[in-house]
Amino acid sequence: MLLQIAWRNIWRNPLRSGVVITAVVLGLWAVIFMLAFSFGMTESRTRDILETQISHIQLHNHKFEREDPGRFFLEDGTQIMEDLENDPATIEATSRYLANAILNSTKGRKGTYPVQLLGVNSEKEAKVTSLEDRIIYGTYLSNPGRRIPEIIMGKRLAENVGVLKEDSLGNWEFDPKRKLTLNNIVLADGSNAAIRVKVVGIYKAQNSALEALQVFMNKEDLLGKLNIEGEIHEIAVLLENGKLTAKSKKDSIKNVLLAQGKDTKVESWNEIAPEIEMIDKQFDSSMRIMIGVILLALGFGIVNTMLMAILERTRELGMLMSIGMNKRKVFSMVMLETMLLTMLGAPIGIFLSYLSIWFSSRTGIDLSGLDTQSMSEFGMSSILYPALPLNYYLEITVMVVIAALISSIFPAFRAIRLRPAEAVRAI
Amino acid sequence: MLFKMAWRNLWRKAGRTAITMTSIFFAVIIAVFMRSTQEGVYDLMIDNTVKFYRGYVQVHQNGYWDEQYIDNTLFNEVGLEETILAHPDVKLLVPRLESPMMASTGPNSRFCQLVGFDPEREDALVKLKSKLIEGEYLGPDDRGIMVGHLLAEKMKLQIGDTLILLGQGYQGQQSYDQYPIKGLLKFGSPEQNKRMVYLPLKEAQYLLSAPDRLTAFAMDVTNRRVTDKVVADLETKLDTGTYEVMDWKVMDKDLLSFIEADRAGGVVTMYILYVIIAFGIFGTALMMVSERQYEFGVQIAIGMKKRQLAFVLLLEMVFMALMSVLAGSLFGIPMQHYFNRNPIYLGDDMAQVYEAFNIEAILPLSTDPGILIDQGTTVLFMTFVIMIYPLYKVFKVKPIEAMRA
Repeated sequence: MLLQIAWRNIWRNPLRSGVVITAVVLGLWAVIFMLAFSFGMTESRTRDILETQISHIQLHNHKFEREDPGRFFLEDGTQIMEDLENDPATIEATSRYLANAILNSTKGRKGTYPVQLLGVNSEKEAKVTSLEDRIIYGTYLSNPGRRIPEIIMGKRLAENVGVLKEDSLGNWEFDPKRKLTLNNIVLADGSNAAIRVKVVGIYKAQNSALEALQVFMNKEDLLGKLNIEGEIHEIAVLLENGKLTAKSKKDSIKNVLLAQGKDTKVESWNEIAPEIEMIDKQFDSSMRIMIGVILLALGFGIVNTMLMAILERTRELGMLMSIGMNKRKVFSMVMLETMLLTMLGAPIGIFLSYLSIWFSSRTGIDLSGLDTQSMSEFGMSSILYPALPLNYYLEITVMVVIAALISSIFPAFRAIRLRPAEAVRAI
Repeated sequence: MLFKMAWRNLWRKAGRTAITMTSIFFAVIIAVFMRSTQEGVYDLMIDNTVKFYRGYVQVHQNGYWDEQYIDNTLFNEVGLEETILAHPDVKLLVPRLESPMMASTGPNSRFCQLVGFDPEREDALVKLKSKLIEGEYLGPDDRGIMVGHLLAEKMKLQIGDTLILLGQGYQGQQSYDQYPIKGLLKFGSPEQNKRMVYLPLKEAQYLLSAPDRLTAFAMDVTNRRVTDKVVADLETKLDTGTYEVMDWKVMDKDLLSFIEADRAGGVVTMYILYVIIAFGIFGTALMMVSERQYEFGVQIAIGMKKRQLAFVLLLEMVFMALMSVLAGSLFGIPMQHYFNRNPIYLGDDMAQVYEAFNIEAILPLSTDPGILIDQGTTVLFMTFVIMIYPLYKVFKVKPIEAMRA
């Protein structure tokens, strides 16, 4: 009965109800779509970092540290590698030999550049970190066994040592004939070696620090020059649906190795790069604040509109009270009206956003028209696929219901403060 | 006369006026809050990265920034410091001589970053004393080093142990010497903890055969927003053939472009907020006109021209808009300052993640007064646009119907 009155009251003033409902629909639609947009952005950034840089799981010797790989090889590395490659959950795995070295530059910007030399299997590396796709000048590593071994280096290092030169027009030009000497390659026994190499290609990385640091060459070439047998420092694994499964897969690998009596360090991506998780959480909390502020603004809009509506309906409400509607009923009626308005708008808004997210996640949003240079610097690709996990919808729905409840209380209080005798006479 | 009517109308129905004004007032407050949190986060990021090491502005030998090696150091000639410090916005000038070196214990060696520093002034800029976790803080004439705690840990060194530093000195000189470790430092970033080696300036200049030479003067300025001016002023005072002056925006390009990309996203958020705010104000305005239909009808019936009535309404709304926007902006000041000093805590979950980076899990508000003015004018403009509707309604009033309502 009360519900029916409230429902009819809403439609007696379609313009007012229209304004409130439209505000709710537009507000929710915009907020949820924007959430999905930013979420898609963070997700694709994370995926890019995982699939070009750190992979889902890495294995090392327990004493291994990146700054000083030295003699800390993976115990039974080749065996572990074989097992991992046969694991059905593995998309691809690659093994690496690491060594620190120094590159002295006499051309380009003078100086001494510490570099990290990675001896890799070029085919597998191309699959795990898309290294081949990231070559922007020159070519990818060809087969090992050249007289002067081939290397590829990052764009930033190439600029520093003058392999990439800027011509008078500001274009970068790659010099494929440059040969360089890698000095002070620290060997496992602590002694030093030097090798002469040829730069065949330049790669691009999201992380400019890595771009200035990492130099890749064929593992056979490196080990051959250094006279080392097939030891490896690092295995990187790419998993099926790896962002989610890495944590549990890591534990199972670790347990298998422990059972074999090997004390190997197995790390999942969130341990290797905690900052990715930090950014995820930061995103989460800043989004929550944003939703909170926008719902607050929405709530204020509804409250003020409804308060004004009470003023406008003074006479009507006075009449209702005079003919015997008690305060509790008036209160509930006004509250119901406000709630109904929000509850009419909310599902439409949520449905619209679900629809537009679903649609745009299939087609993708092309951002290349914008200035995406700064975006690509942070590892964001120019086509964006909005996405939003279901729990966000749920959270937003709960928050909207709470906001609706709170904002319906004030107008209702205002309504029951009216005195029937005066209200009836109001004009 | 019309002015008087408008003014009285406002106070005749104080409740109505109050509701309309609150809706505009809170619109300003919410917009200011949103914008200030966005800028506040950037301030925090800039402070964390810039202020806690690099300083807002630096002076180098011309060309040092592009080719950072020891031969590109500046000669600290007499009067240079005074010239820079004479600038009213420069609060502090910190001399540094930095160079990458090899740190060695004999069997064990790794890269490190040597910083020749002035103990007192460095502490004033980056609070270096507070980062000391073991041992003692160096004096200007001490012959000893303080190192990042992870460097010591990895090389299995303790307070009192000796570390050999070797590398290239000024003009190709070979530099090597050994120093006792007097203190361990803990910084925000793991990178610094693994690399930093602090040696008093004079000793560092001696080690690198670079007496009176510096890689940089880092400076603290009165606030972040004056850096452009400081750079421009110093460039006129100093010989730009010899020196280069740079602010953090040039030195920390990555941070700046990140902030700019993020700010673009923030603008979208603000527009969404404006749309919602506008609907709120519009709803209020809409209800105000329908409530006053009878009143309008009577006024027109007794001979007031619609034009005059519209003018009274316009005046009322201009009064309300101006007063509430002004009130909102004024109230925004204490709000900004309160939340700047008592920032919103982001929760234990965040604190745990941030701890690894030594960043506080807080959300401070920016105290930039420009935000108040920007948001105030935006909301004011919005209100004026919305006002077109009530005015239009006045011209549509049919007195007879209106009075019967």
